[in-house]
Amino acid sequence: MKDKLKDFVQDHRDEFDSFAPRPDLWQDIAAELQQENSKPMLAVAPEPAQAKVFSLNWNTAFRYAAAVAVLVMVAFTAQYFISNSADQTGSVAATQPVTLDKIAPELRQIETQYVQVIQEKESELKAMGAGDIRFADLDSAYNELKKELYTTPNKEVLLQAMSDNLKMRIALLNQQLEVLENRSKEQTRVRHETTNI
Amino acid sequence: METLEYTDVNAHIVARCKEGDRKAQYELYKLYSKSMFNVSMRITNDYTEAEDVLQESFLSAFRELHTFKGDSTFGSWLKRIVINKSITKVRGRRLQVEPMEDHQDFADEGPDPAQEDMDYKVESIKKAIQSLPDGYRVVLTLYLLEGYDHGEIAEILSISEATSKSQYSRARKKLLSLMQEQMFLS
Repeated sequence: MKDKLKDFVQDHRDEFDSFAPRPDLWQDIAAELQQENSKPMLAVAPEPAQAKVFSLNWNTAFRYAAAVAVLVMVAFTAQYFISNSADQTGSVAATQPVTLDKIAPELRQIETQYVQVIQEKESELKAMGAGDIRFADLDSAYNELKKELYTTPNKEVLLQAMSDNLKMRIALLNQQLEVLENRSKEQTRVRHETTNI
Repeated sequence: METLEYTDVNAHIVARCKEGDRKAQYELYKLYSKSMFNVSMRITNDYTEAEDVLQESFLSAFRELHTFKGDSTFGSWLKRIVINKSITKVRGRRLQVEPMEDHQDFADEGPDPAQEDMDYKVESIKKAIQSLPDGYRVVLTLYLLEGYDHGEIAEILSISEATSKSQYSRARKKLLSLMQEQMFLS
């Protein structure tokens, strides 16, 4: 059986992957992995103090010497692994720690300015009984732009796009508000008319 | 779908991950996070849940990496984890709030020739997928976008192959009619 829809989707498969997670999600994952790792690492470290009196017999002396040597080796490897893993997380953290504040100090201002308006509108909408408002597409686009900020040679264009993205949300929220307001006006009007009859 | 050349490229990164190499883990994350996020986004239809799924999936993939024997690509192994976790989210949610949604039955009319011949557009398909009921959306995306056949979908969802087929054809019909509605509205 031929499925034209399936053929079309297969031909355009890449275009369907348009969403992106927030850029700092990896940091959360890495932090959790780190936490799990550090527990068993510490469990390797204990070295019981050897303060027992022993008789000097070459055979036993050898055994104790070997035991001490093994302990020393364990201690060194444990230390090596601990410092090594600390290095690794250092460098992984170093893959993204250039703060946005340094790259684009304007961004904070833009975000606080618009986010406040957006939140006000959202709570207004909620108060009017609208359900959850979600901007998955806009969120993805915004996160992508934010990621690009780290590498872009053309910061202004990106910042403009980001503030357009935020403005678009405000416009959408306004539209929604208007719709709801009209509807409630309509309802009260209808109610008045029916009571008049 | 991942090509076969990927297997070799990833094999040594996966091996390094097995030793707990954080950089190698980050490599895999960079390679797969976006596509896996979209897989989950299509099933859960929820940005926050999809992010949770992504995080949980990578964590459990790295924890359980020793059980990965390399008989499939790492990508398809990871994808199964993502799909299972996403489905769990959807099922949990359905129990919580919306028992009504999947009981809508669509009349089983024959295929509308006008629907079959319409011009497909990626954007309108995506939009229509997002407005499908959960049960339809999951089967449809697994079949259309994630490339599973009905036998595999039956196994993933623990339903019969026949159910998967009929669910898909209903979902497909519903999708086309949603796309047609969009066309008239715009």
